[in-house]
Amino acid sequence: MAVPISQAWTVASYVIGQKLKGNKHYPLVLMLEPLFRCNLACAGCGKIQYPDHILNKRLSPQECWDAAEECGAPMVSIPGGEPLIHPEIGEIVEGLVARKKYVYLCTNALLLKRKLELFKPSKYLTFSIHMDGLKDEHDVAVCRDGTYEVAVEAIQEAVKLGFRVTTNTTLFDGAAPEKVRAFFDEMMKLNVEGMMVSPGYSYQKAPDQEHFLHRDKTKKLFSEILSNRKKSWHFNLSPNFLEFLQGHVDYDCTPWGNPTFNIFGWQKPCYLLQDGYVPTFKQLIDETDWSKYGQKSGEERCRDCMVHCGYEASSVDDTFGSLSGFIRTVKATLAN
Amino acid sequence: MPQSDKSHGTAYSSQEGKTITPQNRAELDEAIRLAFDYRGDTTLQLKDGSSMEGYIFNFDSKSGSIQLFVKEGKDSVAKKLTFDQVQAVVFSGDDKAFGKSWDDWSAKSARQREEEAERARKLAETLGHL
Repeated sequence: MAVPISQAWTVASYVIGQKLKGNKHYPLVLMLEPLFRCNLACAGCGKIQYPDHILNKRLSPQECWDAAEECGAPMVSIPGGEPLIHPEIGEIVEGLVARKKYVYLCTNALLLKRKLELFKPSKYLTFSIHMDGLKDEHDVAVCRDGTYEVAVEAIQEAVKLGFRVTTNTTLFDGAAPEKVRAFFDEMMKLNVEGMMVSPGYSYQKAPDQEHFLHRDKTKKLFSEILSNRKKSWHFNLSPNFLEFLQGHVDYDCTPWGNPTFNIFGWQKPCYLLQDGYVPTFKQLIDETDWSKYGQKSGEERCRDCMVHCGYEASSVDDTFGSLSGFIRTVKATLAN
Repeated sequence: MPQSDKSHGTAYSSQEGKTITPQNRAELDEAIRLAFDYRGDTTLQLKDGSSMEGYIFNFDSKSGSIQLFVKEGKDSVAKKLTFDQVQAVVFSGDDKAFGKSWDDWSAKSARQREEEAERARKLAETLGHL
């Protein structure tokens, strides 16, 4: 198993608890964006496309902790921007760990080696390193040469010091399955705990016939990558999500599963779409018309999306939602 | 980090520099929606003759409310306005999304990409973020 037993148990008991309460709209992972400023400028990244005065804004540690408590999700992912730029990131993480949240600090690792002293190894803290492939693929994806090597050194240092480390990979059309498989081999050689992988989100405002192929293309790509999986590969993802990516099971999106909080407030409806903001988590859940989102809703922007921030929660919900879902998970785990 | 635009053929036309003076509520709704989607500051010219420039991060057509962050000194402060106060919408700030798509990047020459990457790196270095 890629995650500690304690984390798996915490998530399992939390989800089962939500089911017993009859709560459908429960959060699984808080996407906590403490800033949007980044030290990379990856082409196409919508998260950094703001005027400077917005990029200069930060959430305070107290705002971060309040959001985590208000939401109640057992896991907190900290993306951005680049979280390690935040001057109080050590304090933010310390406070979340004290609240027994399983924290995934997402980083491009350019600052990680320098900033490791701000953190203490803990079962609650994982550095999730943005790695989109081997050197050539990764440096092209992030639009800066040398980034891959810096990230690898930082991973090695973090692992050596006893931190939990995963990689986080986004794949787009054109990814070569054999290169991705070779990349997985290299990441596991770095002794990371596990890997996360997701298709990229790509929304075109002008619909065309190609849209109908996107989901099929994604499933084909992931089938080629994930079938005949190596035993040495560990994924920090639900087995059902990996089945979903290959088209072996179908889910609809669970946008409330990964609620997003940033300097603007609670983002409607999900991590990727920005349809407005509300000041409280309760308003996010109660005032968003969830029927308008997800693949089955007919919402054009959701039609081809298969990203983990919407579908990992669906997969986990399936695992604990029924006996058949649980059996599906066991089968997927044993088969790979 | 999921990137929003590793795609081909996204048609994006910028509002930068444009002014919209709505003539009715439907046009006002559309102008505010465009300003919300815009990845730069907009200036709202108000009916009382004043104006407010900032980043519109939220709006609600039903209640007629607009929220924006306005620069004040070194900080940026949240302000609220109503649709009824707005005379015109000016897309006054730089469009931070224009020319930044994956397709735009791919269409550049190797030299142009190197120069742009170097500019981004130097900015991060100057800010102490590398």
